Amino acid sequence: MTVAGSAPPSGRMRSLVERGPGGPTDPRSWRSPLRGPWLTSIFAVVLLVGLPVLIVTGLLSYAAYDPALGGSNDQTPGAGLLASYIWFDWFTSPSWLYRVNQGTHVLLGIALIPLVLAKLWSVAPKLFEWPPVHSVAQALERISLLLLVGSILFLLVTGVMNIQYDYAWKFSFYTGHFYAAWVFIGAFAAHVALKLPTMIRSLRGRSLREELRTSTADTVAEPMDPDHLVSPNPAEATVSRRGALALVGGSSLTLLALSIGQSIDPLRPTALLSPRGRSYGDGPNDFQVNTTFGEIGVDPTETESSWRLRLEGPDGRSVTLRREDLLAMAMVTEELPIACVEGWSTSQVWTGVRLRELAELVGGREADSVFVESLQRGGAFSTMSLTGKQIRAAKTLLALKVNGVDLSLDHGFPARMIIPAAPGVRNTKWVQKLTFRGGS
Amino acid sequence: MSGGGRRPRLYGASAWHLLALLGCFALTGYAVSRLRDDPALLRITLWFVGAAVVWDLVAGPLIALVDRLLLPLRSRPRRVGLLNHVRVPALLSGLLLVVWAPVIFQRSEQTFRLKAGLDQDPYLERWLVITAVLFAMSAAAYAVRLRRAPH
Repeated sequence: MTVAGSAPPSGRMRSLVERGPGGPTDPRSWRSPLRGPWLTSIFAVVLLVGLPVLIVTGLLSYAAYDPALGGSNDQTPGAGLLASYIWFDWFTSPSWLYRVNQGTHVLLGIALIPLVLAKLWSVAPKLFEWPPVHSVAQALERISLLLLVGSILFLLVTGVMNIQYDYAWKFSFYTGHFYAAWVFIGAFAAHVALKLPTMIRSLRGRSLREELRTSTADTVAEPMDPDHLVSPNPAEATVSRRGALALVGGSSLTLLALSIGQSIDPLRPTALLSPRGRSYGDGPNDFQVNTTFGEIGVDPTETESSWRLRLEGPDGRSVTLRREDLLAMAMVTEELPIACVEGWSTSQVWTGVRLRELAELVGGREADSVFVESLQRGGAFSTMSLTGKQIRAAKTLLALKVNGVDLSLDHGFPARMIIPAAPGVRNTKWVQKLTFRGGS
Repeated sequence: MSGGGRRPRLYGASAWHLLALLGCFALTGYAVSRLRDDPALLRITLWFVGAAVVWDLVAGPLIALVDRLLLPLRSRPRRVGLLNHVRVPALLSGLLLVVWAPVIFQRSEQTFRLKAGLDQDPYLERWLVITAVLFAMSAAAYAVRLRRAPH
């Protein structure tokens, strides 16, 4: 402090206003010699590539539910214009499309956590900048930065909790993640628009190759910058920029290495901390379950010999089939993934009847959609609609068997849907009724 | 303030700056307006603001404080520093703990048992083993550096 005891109160007051209350508002209290526009821009350029991938895969995942069909397909029915980018029916091939999309979304999201935190660390002095506001422009920009930081952290927190079944926030994950994503998209776009020139200039200011050769002993602060990221009072370096980059990159790779097994069957045991790294055993039905029959109120007696599948056509024609009737139809075997919105997935060999064959029985081959009803009582996905494109896809099955044996009760016995390239929850289990609608 | 602080113009930046920010606020405003009748809006807002506040005002300063306490471990002339051999495994272990906290602390075991038919017993132990391996690797690297250091 430079305020002498003899200074008049008004001077002290002026000093407080001009210099701030001290502590973090004093730029000299930020000691790291690594902070500076170059380091921030290195983190930024990685995020500039990674975050748009998260945005695109996230928007595609929402489209993969075909929300235009309404009902359970649309978990955010109030979306309005925010859903208007979906002008297409979701794809049915390649069958691994959703698996790759969602695996990328979740794994990349996890791997980017260290980058986001490092980026926030690198600009932390800006949060406490004094005076907090010096122009209208800067005040507005600070509000947009609150939206940016709040939304990215919100998306990471809700995503990471959702894949671990921790719903402490007590709102629908779909609602929170979807609307926060749009806030993020706007704030991210504005931030890039305003900061891209600074980022490019900062990256050009120093050579990456040079930094990667610089040891801790030779690491000094960047030249003072107009954005006040560089400490005016740098301490001696305890780590080089090379070391800091290795730490952040290594953290990302560690998180990725310990998660990727949830999406790749042979690597599953390596996903040590993921709930989807667990094995159920070696049997044909021993793969990941996301809704047990006990959870969702399926009465096992209803799945036994009394079970019937009811088909209804667009013109009201109806057919009722026993499981033996289905087994007597043309059986098809396909290897198809179950890929959850939570990012985990598993590929299995399914045997069953083509949905389009069932549609044919009630004159629904050209239907616009089919409404699938489960025996399950309650749950957000006890009914689900499929598009005409999905009805007619050769690989869309009403599966009766998996890996050569009958489905287990947890995997949907007596019959479940398997749809190529679609999110896991669209593969309705314990199917009891199919209503084909529309078309001619 | 020493120069550059106050600009003569009313707004303080270019029209492009204003346009970009207005676009951002319009999108946020629209998203919020779609949720205005949803009781979830208040909770979502709390978690949204809470996430930023907890990171900026609690987690960030806490990490900085702990790091400052480790400073005596840094290298000195004629001494190999222990600092980064503590920092790196501690940071990785802490990161894994924060990311996988729900399963490590078995917060969601009941839900997971219903949904997947599995418990969450192994995760705390696994995290501890990973942490031990990280520190052991770091200690081994330190031992190698000590041996190589000139006496």
